[in-house]
Amino acid sequence: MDPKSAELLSFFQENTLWQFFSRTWDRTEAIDGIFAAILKLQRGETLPRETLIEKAFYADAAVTYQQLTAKFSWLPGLSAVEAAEVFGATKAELVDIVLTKSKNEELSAELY
Amino acid sequence: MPLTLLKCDETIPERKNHVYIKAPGEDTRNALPLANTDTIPGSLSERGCSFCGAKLVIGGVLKDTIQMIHGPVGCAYDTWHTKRYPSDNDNFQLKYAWSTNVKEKNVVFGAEKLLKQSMLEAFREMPDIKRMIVYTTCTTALIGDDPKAVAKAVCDELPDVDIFVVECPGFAGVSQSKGHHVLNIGWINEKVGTLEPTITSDYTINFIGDYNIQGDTFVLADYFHRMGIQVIAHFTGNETYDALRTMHRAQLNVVNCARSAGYIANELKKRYGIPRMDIDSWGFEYCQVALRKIGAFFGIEDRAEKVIAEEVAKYKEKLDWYKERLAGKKVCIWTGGPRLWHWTKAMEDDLGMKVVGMSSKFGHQEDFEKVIARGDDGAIYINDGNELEFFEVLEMVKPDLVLTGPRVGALVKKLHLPYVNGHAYHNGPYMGFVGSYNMARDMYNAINSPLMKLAAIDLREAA
Repeated sequence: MDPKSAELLSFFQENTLWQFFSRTWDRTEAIDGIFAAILKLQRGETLPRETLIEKAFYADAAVTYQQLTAKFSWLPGLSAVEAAEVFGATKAELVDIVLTKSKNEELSAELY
Repeated sequence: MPLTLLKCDETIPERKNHVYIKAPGEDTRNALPLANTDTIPGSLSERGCSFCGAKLVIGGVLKDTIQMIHGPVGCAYDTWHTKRYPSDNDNFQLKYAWSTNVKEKNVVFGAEKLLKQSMLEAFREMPDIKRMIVYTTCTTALIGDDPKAVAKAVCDELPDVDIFVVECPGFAGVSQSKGHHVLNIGWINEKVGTLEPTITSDYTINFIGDYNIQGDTFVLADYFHRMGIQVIAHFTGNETYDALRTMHRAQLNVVNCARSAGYIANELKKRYGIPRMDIDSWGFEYCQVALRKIGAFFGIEDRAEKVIAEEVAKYKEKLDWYKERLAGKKVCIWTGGPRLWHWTKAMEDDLGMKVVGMSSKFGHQEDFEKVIARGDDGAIYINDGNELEFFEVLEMVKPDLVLTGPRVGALVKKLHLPYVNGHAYHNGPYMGFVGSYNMARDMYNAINSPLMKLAAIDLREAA
């Protein structure tokens, strides 16, 4: 993994709780929703905030993006293509850790 | 180092799957301790029972509810007054304990009549109280009593009361965690949506998974009040039975203790479309992030920043005084589960301390995923630790301080190690900005108290 993605991965692992929601479905939903929202913020786009779930993604993404730009000075200078690559690699590794290769036996337990 | 068998566990090698020492470069794909599994025979567990998880942790916090414990009197006594969760109505829930006081004859002949008599008597003796939770225990579950049928009969006789039954005897699961689960699911199935709240703000939340230990809820409620946010229901610190019936009307579920109450947050999301926002309400930096996220959700970022600025101005300098003096101190956190991951990075970021060992009594693998992601390399992570393991780990890591409950705390004190009550706190609250300051002060006082050094002196030798 490239160094920038590795730095982001370390930040996400240490600081965000939504990656660790209890079930496979809500981990997937949170990771997809918040990563997409962060990328839009990085591109300077306005996020929709009509529904409750859109507001929730916005809130997590906006504050996380503030933290990321404060910590990583190289982040605001990334082009849209570069940002997509860096965040894409980060997200892929995060999904590998908390979903695909997770050893958490409860993630898909039917009686949870 | 991967999963590790401690020396004291040589005769119970299954314990290897419950102890992990994090190596550089490792993540939870490499190893994850087993958790929420049966305690291994031969291991002297520190866990509580499943009934305790429902009653002592969640239900018993409610400030206007009779807690009728259907079982031997010890089940009531042992889950009464051992956690300090006050309320703003003169601590009703701390003053009283209720039990059906089941005896041998009830085991032989059945205890349903006794339960009904006790419920009617309790309502008669406390005419202002109209809400009750009934809990089964090991004894009354084994003899096959039907408390839901009894509750229905009582409601038929007393139409102005409302009763919730928790059928979670002590043996229902491997630890208190099962009690959390049963109460959460039972409540949303039977009670949420049965009452409508009065809405007083455009911004409404449920705050889920905080039990007002020494006033935590009061601290958080103040922040939300200053932001103009209405807390529809606080699950369950300083809360009423009826408020918890109205949880379906909040716009956002803010979750602190995902272990004890993540279940109801998930169900509120699935059934009512209310999103879940997990936050850390312990920790100085964490608290700022949490308030910012809640502010961003409602578009009231300015109000969040105002509260943060006021609180930081009050406590940052004081906290930094302790940071200078606590930096580099080594800590073990031996608590229930979630405080491991709430506290480890907060103590490092806020105070420069180093968390070297963590043990969870009832955490699940989800909790270990969180804490291993947040914790340091070289730290020891234990599921369902036993007493001999604690002795061995203390010798390995030589901490300056142990955060744990009074039970393990007694062990720690006998070794003349400083201990702070990580369950019910020494001098809390510990949540929020003021809480971070209180916790730092208590840790500083514990580490620097001369008491432990004096206790180690053998007066016979001194004489």
